[in-house]
Amino acid sequence: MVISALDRKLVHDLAKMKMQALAIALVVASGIALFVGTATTSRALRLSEERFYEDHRFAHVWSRLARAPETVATRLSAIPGVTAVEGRLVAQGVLDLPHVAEPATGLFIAIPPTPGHRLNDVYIRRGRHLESGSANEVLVNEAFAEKNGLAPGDVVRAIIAGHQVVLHIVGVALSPEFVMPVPPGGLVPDERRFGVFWLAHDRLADLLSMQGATNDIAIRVSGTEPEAGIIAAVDRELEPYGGQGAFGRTSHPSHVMLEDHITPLSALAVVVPAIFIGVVVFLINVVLSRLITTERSQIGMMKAFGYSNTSIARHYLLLVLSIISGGIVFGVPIGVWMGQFMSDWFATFFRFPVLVFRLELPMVVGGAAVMLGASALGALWTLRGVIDLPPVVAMAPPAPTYRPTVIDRFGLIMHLCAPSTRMILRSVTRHPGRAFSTAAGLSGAIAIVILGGFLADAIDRIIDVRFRAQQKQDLSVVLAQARSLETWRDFESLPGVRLAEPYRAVSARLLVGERFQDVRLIGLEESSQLRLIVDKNYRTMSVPPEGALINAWLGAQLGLRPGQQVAIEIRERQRRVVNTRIAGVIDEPVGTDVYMNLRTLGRLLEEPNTFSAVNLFVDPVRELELFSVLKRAPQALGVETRKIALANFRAMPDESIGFIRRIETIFAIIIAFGVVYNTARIAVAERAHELATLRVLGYTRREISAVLLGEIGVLAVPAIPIGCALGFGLSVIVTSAVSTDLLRMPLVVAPPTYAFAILVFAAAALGSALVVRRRLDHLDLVHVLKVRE
Amino acid sequence: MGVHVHEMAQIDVNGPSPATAETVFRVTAITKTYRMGDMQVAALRGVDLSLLAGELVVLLGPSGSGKSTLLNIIGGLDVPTSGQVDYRGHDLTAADDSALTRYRRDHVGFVFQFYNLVSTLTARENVALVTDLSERSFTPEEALDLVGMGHRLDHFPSQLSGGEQQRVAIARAIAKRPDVLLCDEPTGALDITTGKVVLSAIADINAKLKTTTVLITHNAAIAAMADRVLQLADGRIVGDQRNARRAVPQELQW
Repeated sequence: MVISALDRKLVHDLAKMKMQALAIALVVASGIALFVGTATTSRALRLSEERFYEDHRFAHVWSRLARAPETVATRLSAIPGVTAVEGRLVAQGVLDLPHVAEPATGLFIAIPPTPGHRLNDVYIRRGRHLESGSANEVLVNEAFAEKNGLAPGDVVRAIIAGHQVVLHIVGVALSPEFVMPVPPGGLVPDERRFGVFWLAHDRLADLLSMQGATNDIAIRVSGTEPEAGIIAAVDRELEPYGGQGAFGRTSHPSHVMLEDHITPLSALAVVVPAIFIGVVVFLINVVLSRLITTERSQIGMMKAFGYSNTSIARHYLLLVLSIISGGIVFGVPIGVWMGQFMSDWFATFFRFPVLVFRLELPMVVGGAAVMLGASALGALWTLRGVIDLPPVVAMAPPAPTYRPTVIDRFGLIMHLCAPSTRMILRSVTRHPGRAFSTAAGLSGAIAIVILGGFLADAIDRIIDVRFRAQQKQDLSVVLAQARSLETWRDFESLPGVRLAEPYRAVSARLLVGERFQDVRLIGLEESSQLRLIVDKNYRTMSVPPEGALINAWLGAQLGLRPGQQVAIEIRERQRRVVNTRIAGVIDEPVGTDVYMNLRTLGRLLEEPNTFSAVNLFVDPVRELELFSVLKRAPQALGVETRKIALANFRAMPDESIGFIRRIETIFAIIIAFGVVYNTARIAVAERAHELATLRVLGYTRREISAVLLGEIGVLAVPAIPIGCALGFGLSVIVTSAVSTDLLRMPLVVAPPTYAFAILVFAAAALGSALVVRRRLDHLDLVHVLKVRE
Repeated sequence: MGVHVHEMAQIDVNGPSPATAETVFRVTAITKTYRMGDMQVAALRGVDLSLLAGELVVLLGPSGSGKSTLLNIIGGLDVPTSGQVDYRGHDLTAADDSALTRYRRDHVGFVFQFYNLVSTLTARENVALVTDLSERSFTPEEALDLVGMGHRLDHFPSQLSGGEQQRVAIARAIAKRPDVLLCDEPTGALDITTGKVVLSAIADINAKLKTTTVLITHNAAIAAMADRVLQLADGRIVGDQRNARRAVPQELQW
C-alpha cells in the first residue's frame, strides 16, 4: 500500500504534538471510561433487578389489612388483569440480639413449607428451605445474617404479638421484596437492626391467633389493565376487612430505594460525560486553531498544488479523529473494568441472587460516536475559516495585525506598566475571543472539580439538617398500638430517660385528583423540643394549630398550595379519607413527611388525645439499661436510635454516590491538567518568536517565563470566579437530575469544595507552568529567529 | 519616507587604525558541528579572527558558509564545539547560560533579517524593552531619533513599512550603547532603496557611536561600505581585506 504524502504528514504532526495529543486523549479516555463504567453499572443493576423480579415473581400490588378469611384471595383473583394473588400473614416484632445493645426490629412473613409457585419467592443462598412440622424453623434475610454473624443452626429470640419465641435459623435467603431491607416506617435500609424472617404459615397463625385468616395480600398483574383500576378494585374488596389501602411498586420501600440508586446513576452516566465531551471539543478547537494558524501557508501551498478543500479538511479531521480514537481505545477497557468493579461492589449491598453484567456494544459505540462526532464538528468549525481562503491569501503570512485596543486608551496606566506587562495586556485584549475561550476552558476545569465535590456537600447538609437540626432525641420508640396521651409520662420514668415527648406517625396517602403520594403524617406537640421542623436552609417552622404542613417538593409535584384543602387517605387499620387545609409548605430535603398538630391529627383520626410513639432524650450512662428494658417491652414495636439511623443514612450515599464521586474527582483533575497544559503549550507556541527575541535582547529565562506565565495568569485569575460560578451551575443540573421522592439534593457547595477545586487548578497551572518553563529553557533562539514569524 | 540621512554619513569616514585600536574579540580556532539526526554537519571548521573596536566588518559568503553561526557565537547565542572566543579578556566559551544572557544584555545588539519586533508593542515600547534593562542607555526617543524614526514613536509594527520596522529594530539594538552590533542580513527582506536607508542607519551608528559592527550579507555590493571584509566559504575564512575607503551606503548599487 502506498502511503500518501498527506498521511505521512499526519503521522509527523501527531508525533510533533504528542504531549498535547496525549493530554487530549486522556481527557477523552476519562470521559468515555466514566460513561461506559457508569452506564454499564446502571444497566447491570437494572438487568439484575429485572431478572430477580421475574424469576422470583415479585408482586405488583400489595395491601395490608386487619384480618380477612383466606378465601378473600379467590375474590381478588377475579379482578380483571390480576394473574396471581397470595394472602399471607405478616407481623412485626422486636428481636433480642445478645451482642446488639439496641433493640432490633424483625419482620415475620408466613410462607408455605414448599418452595416455588408463589409470589415474592425467596432464593435460598445458604442452608435449606423450611421443613413442614418444624414449627420454629425460620429463614433469615442475607443482609441481616451477614451483619449479625448468623448462620443456619443459630437461634434468635424475638417477641411476636407479645409471645417470647426462640427461632431456629435453617437457611439464609434473598427476596425481591427486600433487595434493600428498609424497616417499616424507616427511610433507608438498616441491615444490622432490621431482620426479615420467613416462617411456616401455621406457626405464625398460631402466634397471631389468625388461623385460616390473612392480613397481607400480594398480587401480580398481567399489565393489560391500568394499575390504578386494579388498586381501586382491591381497595373495594378489602374495605370490609380493614384494608389499609393497596399500593404498587412505586410505593414499595425496597423497590423505591433500589430505583433511588439506579436513577441517579443513570443520570450521572449522561450528565457528567456530556460535560467531558464539551471540554474535549474545546481542547480540540484550541489545539487545532493553533495548528492551522501555524500551517496556514502550508495549506495555501497544498491548495495551490491542487489539493481539494475536501482532502485538506480530511487531513485535519483525521488528525483530530486519531487523537480522539486513541482516547476511546484507551478509555473503553478502563470503563468496562470500572463497570465490572462498580457492579460487583454494588452487588454487595443490593441483595440480588445473581448480578447480570453485560457489556452492550451499541451503548459503547454510541458513546464513542458522540465523542467523535462532537469533536469532528468542533474541528470543522475551526477549519472553515482557512479552507475558505484563496491559496494566494493563505500562502501570504498573516499581516502583523496589532492595532491599538481599548486598553491603549488608558494611557497613564499603560505608561506605568513595564513593556512586558503591556505585551500581556495587549495580547489579551487584542484577541478577546481567544482570551475568552481560554478563560472559559480554564474555568471548565475548575467547574468540573467542583461538580465532583458538591454531591458530598449536599449530603453533608442533608445529614446535618435531619440529624442535628431536626432530630434532638436519642431514640424513638414506636408502639404497637396508639395509647391515650394520659399515659405518655410513663416513659419519663423509664431508666435514664431525661425527657420524653409523645408523637403520632400514621401512614397516609395524599389524593389530588387522579394523582396521589404516599406520605407519613407526623403529629407533634406545639412545644416539641426533641423533634423540630427545619428546612434545608435551617429555617425552623412551628407546627400549625390547624391544618397540615406539607413538603415543598411534594406540593410542587402535586400542585398543592397553602390555603387549599387536601384529601388524605388514612392507611392504618380503618382506611378512611379525611380533609384538611394546607397551612404551609416546608422545604425538607429528606422524605415527604406531612406535619400536623398532635391533637388536630388525633381528632382527624377520630382517636383524640392519643399518641403512637415517643421521642426520648436519654442519659448516655444509662442507655444500655434502657435498651434492655425496651427489648422486653411487649408494647414497643420498634426502637430507632438517632445514632444508628444517622450511620445507616450516611452509609447509603457513601456507598453509591461516593464511589462515583471519587472517580469523577480523579477524572476532573485529569481534565484540569489537560486544559491548563494545553493552554500553556499553545501560549508558548504563539509566543515563541517574541520570547526568543527577548532572550536575544538579554532577558533572562526567568524574565521571559514571567511574561508567558503572566499571560496565562491574567487568564487564569478571572477563570477562578467564573469556574466557581460554572461549577455551581453544573451542580444545579445534577441536583435536579438526581432528586427523588426520598432525597432532594440541596444546592450547597461548601467553601472547602471551592477551595479544593481552586487548589487542583492551581496545582495544574503550576505543573503546566513547570513543563512550559522547561520548554522555554530549551527554546532554540537561533532557529526561532531565522524563521519568519 | 521622512528619512534624514545624517551629515556624518556623508563624510568619508575611515575606520579605526589597525595599529592603535583595541581588539574587542579574539576568536581562536573555533569549530562548530551540528548533529542533524545521524549526520554531523560542520558549520565552522577552524576560524581565527580578531575584531577591533569601532570597525565595521562585513561578513560575506554564500548560504551555508557559516556566517550566521560565527555571528551567533560572537553574540553569545551559541557556543562553539571547540576553540575559544575572548571578549575583552572574558572567555565566552567558558560562560554558562546566565553569563551569556548577562553578556548579551550588557554588550550586544542584534539586528535580524525579519526585524523580530514585538507586534503588541509600539516602536517606543519595543526600544524600551532594552532600555529598561540597561542603566547607561539612551532613552527610547533618543535611540529612535538616531535612526530617523523619532516621528513614529507610538506606531505599532503593523503600522510601519519593512524599512521602518528594521530601523526600529536597529534603534532597539543600539539603545543600550552596545559594544558590538551584530546584523544578520538586515536588508535581506528589503528592496534596494529601503535597504540603503537601513544600511545608512547602521553606518551612521557605527560612525557616531564607534560601535564595533558586524554585518552579514551574501550581497557582495554591500562589502564596499565596510572597513574590513571577511569572506567565508565552507566554514572557513577565505578572505580578509581592508577597504581603503568606506563607501557611503547611498552610493551602493546592486
